Amino acid sequence: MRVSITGEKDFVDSLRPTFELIDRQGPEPDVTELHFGLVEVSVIVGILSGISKLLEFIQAQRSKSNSEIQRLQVTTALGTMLLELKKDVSAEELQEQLSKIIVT
Amino acid sequence: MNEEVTQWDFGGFNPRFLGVSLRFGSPATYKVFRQYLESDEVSTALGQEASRVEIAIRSVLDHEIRHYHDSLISPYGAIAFRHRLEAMVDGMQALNCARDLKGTCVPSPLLRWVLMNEEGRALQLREWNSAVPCPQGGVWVPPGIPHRTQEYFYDWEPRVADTSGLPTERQFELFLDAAVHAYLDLSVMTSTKGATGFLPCHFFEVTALTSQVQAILQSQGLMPALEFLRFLLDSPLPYADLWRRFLQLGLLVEKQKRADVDEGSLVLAALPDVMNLGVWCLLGSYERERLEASPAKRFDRLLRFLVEDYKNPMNHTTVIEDLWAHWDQGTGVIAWKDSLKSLLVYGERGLRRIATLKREWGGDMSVPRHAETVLETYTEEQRSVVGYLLESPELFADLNIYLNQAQGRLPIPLLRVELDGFCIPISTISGPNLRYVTRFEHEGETYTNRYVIDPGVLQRSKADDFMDAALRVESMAQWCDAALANLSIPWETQVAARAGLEDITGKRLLMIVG
Repeated sequence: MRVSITGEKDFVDSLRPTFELIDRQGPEPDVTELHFGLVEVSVIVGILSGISKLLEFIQAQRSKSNSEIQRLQVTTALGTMLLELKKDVSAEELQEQLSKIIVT
Repeated sequence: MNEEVTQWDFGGFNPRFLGVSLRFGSPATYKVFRQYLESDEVSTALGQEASRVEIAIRSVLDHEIRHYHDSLISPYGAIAFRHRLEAMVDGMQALNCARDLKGTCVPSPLLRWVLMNEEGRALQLREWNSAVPCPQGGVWVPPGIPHRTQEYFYDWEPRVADTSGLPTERQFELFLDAAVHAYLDLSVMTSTKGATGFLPCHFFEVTALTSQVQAILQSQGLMPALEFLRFLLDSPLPYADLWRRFLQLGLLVEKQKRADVDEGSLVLAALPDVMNLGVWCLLGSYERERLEASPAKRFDRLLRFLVEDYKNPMNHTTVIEDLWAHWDQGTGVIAWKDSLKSLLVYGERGLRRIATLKREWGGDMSVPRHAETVLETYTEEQRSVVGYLLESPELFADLNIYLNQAQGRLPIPLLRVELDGFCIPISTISGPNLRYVTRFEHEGETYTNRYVIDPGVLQRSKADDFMDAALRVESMAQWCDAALANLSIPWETQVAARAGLEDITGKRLLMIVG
């Protein structure tokens, strides 16, 4: 499944291994409406290897980050969702949120 | 409050909504704003170090209101607003027609589907069919939509036509072409950069930030103003970078007037120069000079001109009318007064056009009615503001006059408050013509995280209608942005927009990713 993930640059960069094929990666030019604040925002677009690998990477990266709330915007064929990740976000919570836009 | 994670940006201005929006990410920041709004006292923190967040929150309104006024005086703002309105009106008609078309899905954004060739469409359909099961057990089928090239839209002319006798497929095609044309025009206009690499929208930040510095200086004191300036001088953000370039140009001119003063001391003195330069860049005539009227292109011209001409005493005059006329002549652009007069004609033409459209309209009358109400108010406020500017440019470019004398005369925009991740009891909110955009019930109390007030309610002849229309137009514009264009819409409205679009079209919305 092709997905696009937008978020803080380091966070997005760390998700590279979860993609089987990457179409595009780089800074996101227009983030005025995305509620990311003033951090450097990046986007990665490509074919995902699998949802479980993505969940694992998001969780691992989240636990390393110091921010109270981390945001990721995920777009798939079924729509766009803004994930608000708490520091202790569980795989189940993530899966539940993403299930609205990723068919497993 | 953790200073490490704070941000300066608490507001937003988007021509989808004819007003300004303020966003607060925590109850603490919202509390600072409410205290500021409800206090009658001028809070000057001279000699004390006010928190950066407090400085930003107490001045965000000045920044955002400046955006609103600049959007009214600039041909760029007027044309961007009109394209948005046209895209919304035509887009809603196309989406209404989509219900009667054959097919099970609507590709989104439609703009990309229209420009996609058969091979690309086949690949995309294969991807959707493998990733998203079709409920009927078959395959996803989009409505028949002719492939168009970018060149097709270059020659496309907007027109008002009676489509009532045409088959639905043909009506859909015509409305879709019109909406895509408006979005493409908007995209070209908003993405045209100058030699410096900045986008037109960044130039609106220059005047808003400069107004904000002056507002901080006046209402909070010197130390907070210097703290804000420190942020602008150090920040790697594009708009701060551009602001510094304007400051350099302002200093070049200002140093000729005060040769004995060092550059550091000149920064505050150069603010009026930055403002003169910034406002002039916004006044290009798109109708007559097309993309050369872009603020980015005008800045290139002015930079080239002033680097050669800065010693000329004509650049040091305090009569803004003469200064701008000198720059018009030196850079070879349409005179600023002619540009503004042509902007007024453009506004009147827009009103006539939407009145005709309303007469010819065949579907849900609320769409053209709301669009007309919003355009009427916009044009009325534009007429008043441009009139002031033509009569006295100091009203906009001289910060002291703008902040102290002009504000009572200039229109005050709708003010929307958005609370990100928390909500408050509606019993704690008050304000003129208050409307709740959201409502939640919890344990017998009603809460909201989005509300709008109209501080200019007394200035507007149809304040209630305007508030309704502005909110409805924004919502329809968001639906069209979600279905037709690649423009981002606020995440909290995405679920509702998708549900609304699937309800209107009777089809599943499938996204083209990437």
